[in-house]
Amino acid sequence: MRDTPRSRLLLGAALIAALSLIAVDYAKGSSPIIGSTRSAAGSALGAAERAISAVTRPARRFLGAGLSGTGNGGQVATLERQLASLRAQLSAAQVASQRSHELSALLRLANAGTYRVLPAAVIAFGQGYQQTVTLDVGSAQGVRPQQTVLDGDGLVGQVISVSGRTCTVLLASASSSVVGVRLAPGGEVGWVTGQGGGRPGLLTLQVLDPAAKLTIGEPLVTSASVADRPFVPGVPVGVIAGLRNRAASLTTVALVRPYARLTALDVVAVVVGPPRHNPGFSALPRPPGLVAARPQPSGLARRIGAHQAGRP
Amino acid sequence: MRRAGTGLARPAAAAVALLAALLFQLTIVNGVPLPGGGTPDLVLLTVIAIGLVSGPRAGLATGFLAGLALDVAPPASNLAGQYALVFCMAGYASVRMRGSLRRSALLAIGCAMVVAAAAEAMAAGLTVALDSPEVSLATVAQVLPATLAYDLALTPLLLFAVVRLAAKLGAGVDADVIAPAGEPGGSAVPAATGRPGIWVPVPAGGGSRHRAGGGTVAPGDPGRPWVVGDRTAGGAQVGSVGWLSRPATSRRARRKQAKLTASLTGAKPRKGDISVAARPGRLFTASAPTGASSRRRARLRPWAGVPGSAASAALLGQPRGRSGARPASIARPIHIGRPDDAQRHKRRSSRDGPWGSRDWHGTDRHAVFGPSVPRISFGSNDAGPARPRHDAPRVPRISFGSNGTRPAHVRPAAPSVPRISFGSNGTRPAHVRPAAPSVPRISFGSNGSGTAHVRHAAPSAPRISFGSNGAGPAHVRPAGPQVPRISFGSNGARPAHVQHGAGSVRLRHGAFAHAPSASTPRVRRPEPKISFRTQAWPGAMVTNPRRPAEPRFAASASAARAARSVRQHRAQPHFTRGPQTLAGSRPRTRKTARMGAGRRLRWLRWARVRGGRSAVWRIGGTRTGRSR
Repeated sequence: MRDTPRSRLLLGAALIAALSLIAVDYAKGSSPIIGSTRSAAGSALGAAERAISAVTRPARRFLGAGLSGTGNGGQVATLERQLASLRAQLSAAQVASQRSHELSALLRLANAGTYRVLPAAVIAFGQGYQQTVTLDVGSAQGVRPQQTVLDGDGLVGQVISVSGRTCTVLLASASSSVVGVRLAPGGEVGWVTGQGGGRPGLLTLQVLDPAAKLTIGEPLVTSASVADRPFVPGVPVGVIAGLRNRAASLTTVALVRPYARLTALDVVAVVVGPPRHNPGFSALPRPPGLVAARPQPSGLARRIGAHQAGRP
Repeated sequence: MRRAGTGLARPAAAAVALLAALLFQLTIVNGVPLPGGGTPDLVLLTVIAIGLVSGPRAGLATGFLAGLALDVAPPASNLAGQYALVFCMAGYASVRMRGSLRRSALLAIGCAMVVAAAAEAMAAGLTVALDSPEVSLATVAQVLPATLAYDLALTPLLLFAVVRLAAKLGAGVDADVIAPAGEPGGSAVPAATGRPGIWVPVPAGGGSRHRAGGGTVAPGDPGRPWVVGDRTAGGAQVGSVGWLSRPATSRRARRKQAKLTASLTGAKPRKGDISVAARPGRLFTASAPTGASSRRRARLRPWAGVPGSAASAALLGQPRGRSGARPASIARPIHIGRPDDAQRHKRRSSRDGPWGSRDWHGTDRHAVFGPSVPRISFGSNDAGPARPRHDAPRVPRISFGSNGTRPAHVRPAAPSVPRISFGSNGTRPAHVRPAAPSVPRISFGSNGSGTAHVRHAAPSAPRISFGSNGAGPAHVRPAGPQVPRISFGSNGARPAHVQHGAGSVRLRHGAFAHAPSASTPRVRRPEPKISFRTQAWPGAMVTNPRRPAEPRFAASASAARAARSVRQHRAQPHFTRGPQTLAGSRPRTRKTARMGAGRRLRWLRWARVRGGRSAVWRIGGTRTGRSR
C-alpha cells in the first residue's frame, strides 16, 4: 500500500477520536455519551453474550469430553453414534449435577450467612488484564451497583455496573478491589487486595496490627461495610497461604488463597438482601470431619430456613 | 485502489467475522484458564488479518470499530478508547504491510506477528498508564508473555482463514504494490495445465481476455495452453492456489519458475546462469504476446537512441508509451536508463516501504566482474576482442558500442551464454558462433558491412535485434527451423525479414495482431515473428558508416541533433538527463550509482531484497562485496 496523505489523514482522525474518547472517559468518570454507549453495548452485546453462553456452556465446561472418532462401518457407526449420544447425555447430566452442586453450595452459604441471594451465571469474561466478569442478571432482577457477589465457596467480588439484563462484577482479585476482612480466630481487622505479590491466584492481606500473629491456614471473612455496601459481613474470603513479614512495615502482610476459584467461575449469586445480624464466622466451611458427622438438611429445608432467618 | 470484488459482501463479512471473534473472545476464550494466565486476543488477530487484505480506509475502520466494541462490551472496565486507539494503529500497520502477501506466506505471517506483538505491548503499556489502580504492573508482567505466545501461535491460523475468506470474496492484493504480477515479465497465476498448486510465471497479457480460473486459449493459437489466471485487476489473486500467492522472490526462484514454465508450456527456456531478460516468464513461451503495457517504465527503449531507430520513431510520429505501441518484451533487461527515470522510479519505489517494491536489475549500472556475474562492457573499442574469457563458460555478456576490427565477441568454446550487444559494428561479423547450439542473442543497432547475424548451425535460439541496418540482409537463416525472431526498427536495403524456409507470422508493430492474418497464405508453422517499424527507409540512416555507433539512451526520441551531439563522446555510454541537458543548458552531472540511498531498512537483513540494491554480490558462493 502506498502511504497517501489521505490515508494518513484518516489515521490521524482515528487516533484523535480514540484519544479524545480516552480523555473524556478519564476526566469525567461517567460521561453521558460514553455511558449511553456502554449501556447500549451492554444491552446489545450482553444479549448476544447471554445467548452464546447459554449455547456453549456445556462445551465450555466439558470441552472435548464427548468427542469421539468418526467411523464409517455400518454397525460400528451406529454404535458409535449411540455412544456419542450417551456421552452427550452423560455430559449434560454431569453439567446438571455440577450446577446442582454449585447451587446447593450456594444455598448452604446463603443459609449460613442468612443472605437473600439471586443466583446468576457468568456469561462473559474481561478482556486482557481486566478482572471483571459479566452476569446474566441486571437491574430488571433487582441488582444494584455495589452489591456483594459470592459463589458456593466464598466471596467473588462486587457489582460495579448494571445494565438492563446484565451486570458487571469486579472480582476480588483485581488490583483495585479492596475487601475489609476479619480473621477468624482473633478477629483481627485488615483488608485484602488483589494480586498477591505477583503470584497468580493469590490475594494480599494486610492486617492493621503490626504485631498480629498470623498462621497459615487461618480463614478470613468479610467485615461489615457501611450500609452493607459493597460487602455484606460474614462472607468467607479465603485462607492465609503465606506470610510476608516485612521488617519496617506498619502492617502485617500475608498471602491469601481465596475460597472461590476466581478464574473458573460459573454459578454465582448476587446478595440482594443483607443479613439482619452479622453472621460472624458461621458461614465458614466446616472441617471435613464435622461435615461428615452432621446430617445435612435438604435444600428445600435450608431455603425455608434461610427465608425464615431473613424475616424473623 | 482497485478491488476485484465490489459491493457489501466484504464489509459485511468483515463485520460478521469481527463480531464473532468478539463474542467468542469474551464468552469463551477469556473464561478458559490457560497456562500462564494469558489469553489470546482473537479480535486483534482478526483486525490484523483483515487489514492485510484490505485497503487503508477499511483497515482503519475495522481496527477502530473493533477496538471500540471491545471497549464498551459489557465486562469492560477500562477507559473507552484504549483498544480503539491500539487496534486502529494495528489495522493501519497491517494495511501498510499488505505487500508482504505478495511475497510469501511466511513473510505475511511474520508481519502479522510483528504487528500483533507490537499491539499487545502497546495495549499493555496503555493499560498500565491509564488503568493504574485497576491493573498493576505485576499483573501485566505476569500475563503479557503468555498472551504474546498465544497470539503468535494463533496468528497463522487466523491469517489463513481470513485470507482464504477474502480471496473467496474477491479481494485482490493492492495493485499499488509493485507486483511481479503486474510486470510484463510474468506473474504467478494458476496454470491451466492440470497441475494444481503449481505457480508458473506467464507472460502477462493485456488482461482483457483473461478468464477467471485460467484456461483461456489464446486466439490464433488454439493448440497451446495459454497460461493465464484470474487476474482481473492487474494482480494475481491472493490465495487462489495454494494458500497464499507466491511469486518468485529471488532469481533462483525465477529461474526455477522459468524452467517450470518451459516444462509446462513446451517452450525452451533461455539458457544461462542469469537470465538477462527482466523475468524469465517472458521467454518466448506460451504463445503470441498480447500487447502488454508495462506499468513500470521501460528503461531501455528500442528505438530511442539506437542508431536509425530514434529518428525513425520520431519522424514517423510514433507516440511512445501508448499501450500496445511499445514492445514490452525488451523493456527491462538491464537497468540502463535515463538517470532521471531511474531516480524517479527509485523515489517511487522507496515510498512503498521495505517490502513494497524491488528492483529487478542485475548490476545497477556497474560493470561487475566475476565468474558468475553478467558482464557488461561499455564502449570497448580496441583491436582485440573485448574481453576474452575462455575460462568462464556460462556468463552472459552484454556489450555496448563495441567496435573494432576484430569481432567483439568471439567465443569459441562457451556453449550456452546469452549475448547481448548494443551498437556493435565492425567490418567483420559481429557475432560469429560456429557451434553454439541454443543461445539467445540480442543485438541493438548493429550495423556493419558484414552480415550482422550469421548463424550457420544454431538450431533453436531466439534472436532479437534492434535497429540493425546493414547492407546485407539483417537476418539470413538458411536452416533455422523454429526460432522466434523479433526485430525492431531494422532497416536495410533489402527487406529485413526474408525467410526462405519457414513461413512466418508477421506481427507488425502498429497492428500487433494476435492471430495470423488470414491473408497470409504462407503460414505453415506457428512461429511468432514480431517486427516493429520494419521498413526500408533511407532516412533512418543517421549513423556514419565509418564511425562507430554508440548506444544512446535519450530522453525522448526527439532529435537527431541530440543523437549527434551525444556521438561526440565515444568511449562511454551516455546517461543523459533529458533533451535540454543534451543541448547544454544544464551542467551535466555525472551519475554514479548510489547504493544504500533511499529509505529502505538496510540494516535488517531479512528486509533486504536479494539481488536488489543491497549489493552483496556472491560470486561463486563467496561474498565479494559489502553493502555499498
